[in-house]
Amino acid sequence: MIRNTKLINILAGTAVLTGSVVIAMTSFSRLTQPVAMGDHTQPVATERPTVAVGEEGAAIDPLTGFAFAAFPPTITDKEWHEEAWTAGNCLDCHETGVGKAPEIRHYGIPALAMESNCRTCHVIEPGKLEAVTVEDHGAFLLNAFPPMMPNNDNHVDVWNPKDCLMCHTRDIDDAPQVKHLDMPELLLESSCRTCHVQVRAHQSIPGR
Amino acid sequence: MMETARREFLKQSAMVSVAGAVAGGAATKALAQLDQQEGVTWTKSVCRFCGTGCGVMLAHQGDRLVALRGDPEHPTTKGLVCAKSLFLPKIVHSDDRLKNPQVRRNGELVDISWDEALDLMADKFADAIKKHGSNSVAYYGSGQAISEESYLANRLFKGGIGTNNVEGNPRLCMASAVGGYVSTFGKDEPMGCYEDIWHAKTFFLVGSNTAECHPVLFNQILINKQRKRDVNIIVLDPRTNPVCASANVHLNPIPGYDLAIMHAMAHCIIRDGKHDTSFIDTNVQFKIVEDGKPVDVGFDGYVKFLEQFTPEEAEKVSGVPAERIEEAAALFARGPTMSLWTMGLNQRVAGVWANNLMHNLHLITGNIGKPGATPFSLTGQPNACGGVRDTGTLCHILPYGRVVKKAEHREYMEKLWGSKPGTIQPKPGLHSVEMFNALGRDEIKAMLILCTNPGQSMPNLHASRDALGKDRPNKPFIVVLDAYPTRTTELADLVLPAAMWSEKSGVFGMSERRYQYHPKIKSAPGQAKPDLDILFAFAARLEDRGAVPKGYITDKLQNADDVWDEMREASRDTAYDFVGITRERMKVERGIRWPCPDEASPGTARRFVKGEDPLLDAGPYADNNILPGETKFYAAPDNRAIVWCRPAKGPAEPVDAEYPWVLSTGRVLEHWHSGTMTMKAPELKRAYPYCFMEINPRDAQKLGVRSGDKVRITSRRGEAVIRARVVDMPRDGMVFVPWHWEDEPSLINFVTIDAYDPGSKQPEFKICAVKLAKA
Repeated sequence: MIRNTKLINILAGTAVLTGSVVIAMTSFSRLTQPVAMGDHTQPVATERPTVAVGEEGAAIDPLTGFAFAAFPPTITDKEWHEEAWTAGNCLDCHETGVGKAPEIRHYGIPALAMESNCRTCHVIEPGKLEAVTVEDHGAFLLNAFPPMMPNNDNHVDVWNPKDCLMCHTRDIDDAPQVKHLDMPELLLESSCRTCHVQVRAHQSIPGR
Repeated sequence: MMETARREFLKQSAMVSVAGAVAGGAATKALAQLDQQEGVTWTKSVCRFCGTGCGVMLAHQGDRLVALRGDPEHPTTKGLVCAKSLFLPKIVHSDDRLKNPQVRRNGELVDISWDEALDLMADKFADAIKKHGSNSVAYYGSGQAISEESYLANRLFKGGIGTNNVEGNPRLCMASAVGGYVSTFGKDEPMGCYEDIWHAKTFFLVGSNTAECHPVLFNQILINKQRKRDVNIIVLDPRTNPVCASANVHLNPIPGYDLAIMHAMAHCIIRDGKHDTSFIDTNVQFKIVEDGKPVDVGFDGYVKFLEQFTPEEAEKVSGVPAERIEEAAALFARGPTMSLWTMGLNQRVAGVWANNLMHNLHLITGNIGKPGATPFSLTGQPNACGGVRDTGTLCHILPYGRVVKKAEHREYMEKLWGSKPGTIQPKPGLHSVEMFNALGRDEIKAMLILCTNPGQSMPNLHASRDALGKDRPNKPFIVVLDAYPTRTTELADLVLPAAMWSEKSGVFGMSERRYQYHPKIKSAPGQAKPDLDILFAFAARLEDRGAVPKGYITDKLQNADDVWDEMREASRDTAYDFVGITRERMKVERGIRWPCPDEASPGTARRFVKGEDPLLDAGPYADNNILPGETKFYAAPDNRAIVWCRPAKGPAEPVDAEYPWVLSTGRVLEHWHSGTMTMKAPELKRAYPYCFMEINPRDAQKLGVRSGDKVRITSRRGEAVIRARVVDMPRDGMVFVPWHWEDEPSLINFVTIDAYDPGSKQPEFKICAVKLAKA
């Protein structure tokens, strides 16, 4: 009945999936039971056993003998990652793609874990300086799509452009400073959410 | 130290944001310059999502769409577009497209050639017609099909095959608005235009989450309100949707009990002497239905009828405080007032009546036919208006305001189409809900579904899905044309891959009567073909098999240009006259609003207004005895619009002890309808990766439900399991679920009700009784 087989990476509750690019340390495995688009109501217990040796997109790395996604990806030794103590800080970039950060999605882990410190699971790897970055415009024009908005406490009200521009044009609270150049007047007065998609994937949307 | 580092990083990141922002709107020029080296071309087109009809500029490189921006030169949307539109290039280039014709064999869909597919389709339809008569076949179309496709299908089925079993998904969304316009003004479609937004001082938003469902228009409303100090917004909606943050007055009735509020507003307006006597005397008549027949009651009779609807009585029925109703009435009468509504008013068993009451308020206050003063029904699909309503591609109507019941209308169309006299049946065919019921009873033997997803979108979905796909002897033959795999293609016997928007050219007609042309820019993937080509090939095969007179289509029409020219001719001297809207004009201009009776006409901003509507200057509706700016409802009986005295009817399924909660369904900004398209853009999917059920904190506490908990929603028809989102938006006793997700645990149309308005036949998606339990 359910049509699409979805590539979902689940193991030990720390699977990682990017929107269009697989992070180097992770892999995808194919579920034996396909999961429908957007279906997150499948109980985790039924998903875990489906990661199996020998399936297409094998979950086990033959070089290590472990599943590709057995271990949470380590974090690069960049200064800003020292702040990985709150999920919001990390996901501001890793869900929106700001700074070409790999877009991360977590499947099958408890909602509470999603609100926990990232460094609970992800270790900063000393000396690892080579960042994994993503050029995800693919075959589309660079900047074809408006940047996404993070989903944090600073972005609760994203309807009134004045609320957004308060920070994004006045250098408040680390907000990236934006200049909408040569755009229609009406567009500058419009709700930012009209064009900028707000990510709500990192935990149960319902709560946010 | 760390703070500095993070700030530095974010500032570097901001470069990306700035660059992204620069790429927008008028910066198409900058982008074009930027990418000229890469061979990028920008072409004007029209968005293919909602009925706003946003003008867009498409960047393409070779055979690929590479970006989309709002068209700053578009006269009404002025460069604005929403996120759904911006991601169309990704949606079009999704890998998840249908690329080959497929037939079901031993339960599986397998590839076949186009010739095999079309021959099989024609054999099945011709065989059904031969053995069981013309009413054993049916067409179920879409407000997303281009106008030429809908017109051709209508022509083929009604005038060729000889069945009125011609329906489409606008029955599910706009039929009550049609019923309201027709019963009040004599003809369908709004008389106002989007420019009215900039002149209105009061907005009355009823059952419309305009902020999310028509964001480009809502932005204009908000900007108008922010620029002026005397603009007010009244919201009538049981849910505190995002529009309410900008509202001056929010009327939040118990779902289904808002008709009393609109009557009470009329009561207050007349009581306070704020009605427009002069306008009423010239343009309005008053009627009530008694013993099934309309009876004149006059203004005094209307006032007497309204006596029962005091604000205090309306409060008892609706739960809305009387003083708020008084406030809303005062703002409405102050005007100029523009009312906008969508599904909250239409998807009701009292949908037509609710529409009538909306028009009543405009008519008694004279808030119509002037800048900023108009009752304006918003449309959810890009071409429900131009493609289905105007072309008459529903079971009871014929092109351009004609109806199957009238002999002269049938005769005119038979003559124009070259049908054998008597081919068009005088009795309306099966409307959508009854069409699927008849399919389930195997009374329909073959059905063509084009560009729509009833396997997800019909109410009481178990019944429709069983009708479409349940294996049984003599199961009807289901053909589905679509660009993407859907919950309907999985039930089909034959799946035909269709070209997507930008892969074919055609005309969309959006909410303000503006017809706009969108060009073919890229080729379709695999073997996918434009629906129009498929319909032509199907028609030719039906002619070969004798199911349609030889040459009925093939001798007269060869391509979209031919179809469009015949459509223009069909509109001649009707209230829809668009003889002057040629495809050549539309390729250059940013759309043209009908009436437009000749090529010199610029079109019409406001219908029924002397000096604006060219039909009042020449032709069958001309009247040179009225002054510029005066209104004449030339399509209404006696040229007077009708104020109807309608009962304040409630919902079909009120709550009770067993099913104590009201379920209402709706939409979010980032997704559209059944999600077939928007779920293909990863960014849009990440915005709302899965379904949720809104419940307010007070009710959530009663149930012991927290955000993220799964809740089982059960009605008399089915159930869904959906995660709760505790948020103070739905009214007490009500839950709200958007319907964009196709996966079974959260497919909410298994729960919704298929009770429908007896006039419009539109189902009551907005209200049904459910019980809730933590899953």
